[in-house]
Amino acid sequence: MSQTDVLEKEIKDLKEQLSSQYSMFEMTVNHLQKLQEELRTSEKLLAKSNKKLLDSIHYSKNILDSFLLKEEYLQAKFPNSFIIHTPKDIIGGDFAWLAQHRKKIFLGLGDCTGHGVPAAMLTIFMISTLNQIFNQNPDLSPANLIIELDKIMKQYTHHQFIKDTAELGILCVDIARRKAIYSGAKRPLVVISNKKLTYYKGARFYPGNPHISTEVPQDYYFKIPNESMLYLFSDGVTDQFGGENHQKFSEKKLLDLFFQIHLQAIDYQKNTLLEVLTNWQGNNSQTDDKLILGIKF
Amino acid sequence: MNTSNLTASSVLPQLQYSWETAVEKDYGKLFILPEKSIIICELTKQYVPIEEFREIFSLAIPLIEKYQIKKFIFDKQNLRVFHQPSMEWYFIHWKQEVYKKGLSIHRKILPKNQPVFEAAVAAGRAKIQAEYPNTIIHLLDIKYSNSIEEAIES
Repeated sequence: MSQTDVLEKEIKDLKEQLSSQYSMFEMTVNHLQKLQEELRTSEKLLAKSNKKLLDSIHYSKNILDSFLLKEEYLQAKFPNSFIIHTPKDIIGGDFAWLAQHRKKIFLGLGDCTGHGVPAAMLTIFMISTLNQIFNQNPDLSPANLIIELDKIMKQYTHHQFIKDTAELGILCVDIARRKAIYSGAKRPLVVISNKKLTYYKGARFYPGNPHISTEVPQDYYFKIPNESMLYLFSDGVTDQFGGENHQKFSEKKLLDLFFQIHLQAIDYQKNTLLEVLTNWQGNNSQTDDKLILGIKF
Repeated sequence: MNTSNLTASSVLPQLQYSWETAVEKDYGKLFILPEKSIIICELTKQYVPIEEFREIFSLAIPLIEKYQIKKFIFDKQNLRVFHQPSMEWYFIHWKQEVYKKGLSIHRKILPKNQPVFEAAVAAGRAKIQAEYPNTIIHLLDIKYSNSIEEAIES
């Protein structure tokens, strides 16, 4: 091969390399453009199905809300009371329930397992079932209400292997006689009066799920002291991560806070609780649904 | 020893395999690992022209028959530019021909830290798959490897 031939071959090869490089570049750009188009199409489809889902959830919120106890209705029975209800998602599984039979007012706080749509579905079931039990037998004590609820839930969950349940606290108040009965399934009642905090613990009882229940709910009878505050709350309040060390808010902190504010006006208490809990959460995402009920006597 | 960024010519002498150089051109080499029934094709330039590309792959065919090669390792670590029609020829025709001779395992090693090249390879692969839907690809065991050693052992 002469030197000219070698040079010609080198030039030919270089030209081919340049042409291949250009083709490679063009092919890559076309491929990336195609991928980008596919991504745009997927994005549009995702946005469309997301909107459809959100519309459906927003509509179901209207249905759920019609079952939930509203603050105005609670205040009609207990003028000095508040509800703080902040679901983690659009709909959730924490609920307050109220029923009256003669002079006895029943107030319940429920916390269905999980959050979002499944918890909301369970909430509607729980409220409907509690109403059904109460309407059939309004003389049942809070503990017996929970036990009856458990029986009905088992009829459904037993066949479907559903493990979902709810933590529940039911307070029965006779305002005129200042008498109360409380029973809880994993949910406590806090009563603060005369610088004394009384904690009525909920039993280790899970309505509808016999496999993990180790106790049976019992009724606590007590007189409602003068100048007292009663609080019910879901575990989403105490389990919220936040603060400087990214810890759970904790029951201890909540009880301390209740103690600090219990003599204050009801609106002040509500606003303080909201402020403290919001500050604690900071920029962290909400851990669970949150519900606090407070009644001043 | 870290052999993750080395081509076959530099790494083979340091590994504990018996091997021989079967073809040595200024643009590429073919190595045989007889005990492993492996052939390695290393392209030694940034770009290999069409004629030479086809030449080295054609030279590999009789060696595949002679040594009853089961695995082909394509060491592209030196490449920076490729000719897509050559790649299509290699992918569609050459792979089919050597498959008939019993070679169904392919390992490929791409250049390190060359995201543009990698994107071009992905684009080329997508183009081939779109244009040639009825290939024998489903019958082949094709994987990318990070090093010669990994390609030999995987």
